Amino acid sequence: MDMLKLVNLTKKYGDFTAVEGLNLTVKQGEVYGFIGKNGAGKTTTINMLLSLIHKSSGQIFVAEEEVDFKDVIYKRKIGFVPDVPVFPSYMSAMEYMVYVAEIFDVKKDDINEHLKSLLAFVELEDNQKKISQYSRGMKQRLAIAQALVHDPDILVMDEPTSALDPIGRKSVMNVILQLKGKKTIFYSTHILEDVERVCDRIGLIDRGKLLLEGKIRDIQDMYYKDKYLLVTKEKRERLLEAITQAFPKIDAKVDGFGVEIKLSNAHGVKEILTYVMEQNFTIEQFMPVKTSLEDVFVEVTNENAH
Amino acid sequence: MKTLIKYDFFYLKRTAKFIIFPALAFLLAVISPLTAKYMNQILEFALGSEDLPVSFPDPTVMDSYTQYLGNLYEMFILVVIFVSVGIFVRDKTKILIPLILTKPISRTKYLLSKYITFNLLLFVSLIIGYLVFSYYTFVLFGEVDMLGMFYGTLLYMLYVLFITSIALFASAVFDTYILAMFFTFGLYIIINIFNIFKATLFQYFPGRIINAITEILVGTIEGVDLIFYILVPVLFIAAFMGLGIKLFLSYDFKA
Repeated sequence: MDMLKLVNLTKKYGDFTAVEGLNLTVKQGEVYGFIGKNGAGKTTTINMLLSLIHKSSGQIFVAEEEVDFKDVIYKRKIGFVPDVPVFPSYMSAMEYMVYVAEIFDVKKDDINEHLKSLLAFVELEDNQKKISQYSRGMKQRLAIAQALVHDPDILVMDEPTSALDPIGRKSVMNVILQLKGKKTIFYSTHILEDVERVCDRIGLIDRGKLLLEGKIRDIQDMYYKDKYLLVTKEKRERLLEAITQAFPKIDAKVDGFGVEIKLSNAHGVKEILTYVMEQNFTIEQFMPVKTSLEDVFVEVTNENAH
Repeated sequence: MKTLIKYDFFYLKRTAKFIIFPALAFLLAVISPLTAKYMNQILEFALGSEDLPVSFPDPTVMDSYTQYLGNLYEMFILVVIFVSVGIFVRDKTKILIPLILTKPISRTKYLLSKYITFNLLLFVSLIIGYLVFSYYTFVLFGEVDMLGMFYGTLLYMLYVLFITSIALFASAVFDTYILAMFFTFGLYIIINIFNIFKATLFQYFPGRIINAITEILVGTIEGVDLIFYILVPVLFIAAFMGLGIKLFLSYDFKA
């Protein structure tokens, strides 16, 4: 089942197009990483999805039902975690949770226990304190707890770790990891390390356009399947010089203990290795390079910029 | 809607606003009859032993009414303006709205809840003021037109509803407290300026409600006039509320 589907979604502010013809689908139970630089259009997309802003054109489907801006019923299926959550300062965490439960009309005999267990899940057992006394990390965890009050089908998270310190980030990531497999999560971020940890599939957005979409491993393979690391006994700078002189079309650079080579169609592995050995280099290591998502991110966004 | 109203009351209770308005109404209800009763003595005391060229008539119960209405029209309404703009624009300036509107809450109900809750508080405050004022006026003057003052209080509440509808409209238009406040206060001043004109066109403008209250207390009000004194402010309220809600519905909030 498609829990979330965006069809040609577009948002224009005058002449500026913030999101352009966005098409994406998130399947039930999936953790979808919506990645992009700051200002790429991630938050604008989420704002349209939540009817906080009007779309210019396109369609939004939640659980296979089309969303209308004035419709509030579909929001029962969504739990939202903002990047910088702001809560009423005069309330305690528990009071806020009760408020959210009443807004969603959550009917449970043991509602207090339910809310307490959610707060315990995000490690906020001390929930009688005013929210104004909470740290950023605590507020972020409360934001996750309040998003789960009505047991939503989809959790929409807008850069939930971007403004946190390493400890706060780790804590929030642990909570997200525990939710993986239990909820459909639409996870927007620019922190690629987090994406690699939790996401099943990603969509990369830049300048309002979805540039690529797929499983992380498939994307890594697709972009860098011909990338190798060559380590020799000789100095890596000498090796680099030899390779670039003989194969000017090959993209090579010093990396780690050796030289990283990205093969082109013009030259194969065998040809390069033969040449290196002919030049009396002693090969110690030759292995494919496991590429990071960051490499893909940089390459794809750079291509888009040009 | 019930939940929204409940939590808007919760907000008022947790802040000083829940106390300010009943306390202010109580204070004005006590001070006004006292001031009216002892105005001559106050003036004598203020001017010392100087011979006054005119002698002041003995105060009557009408002076008490006038004093109270004057205080409501000046002091009470000013506090209403300052606080109402703050309440309506607060969620916008504090960036509380995005998290609220991502829940199944209609924007219209959200706005109406704030308007209803705040005006309920003001209404209860005015009823407290009315009861206290009537009691003190009776104690000091030996008479009071309870029914007339009750109708007067209801008409004054209509004026309050009108002013708060402007505040709500301004809060929908502007993103900052200062701008919304200046707009509301500016319109309040303009409305009062209309009181100067005697033209029929402005005869039933909301600022003239005080005339209707006085006419009720004196017993000179005509039925037709009363209808227009009510109808015109109601139309203004509907217009400001309608426009405010329309703007709020079309507003793009950024999470």
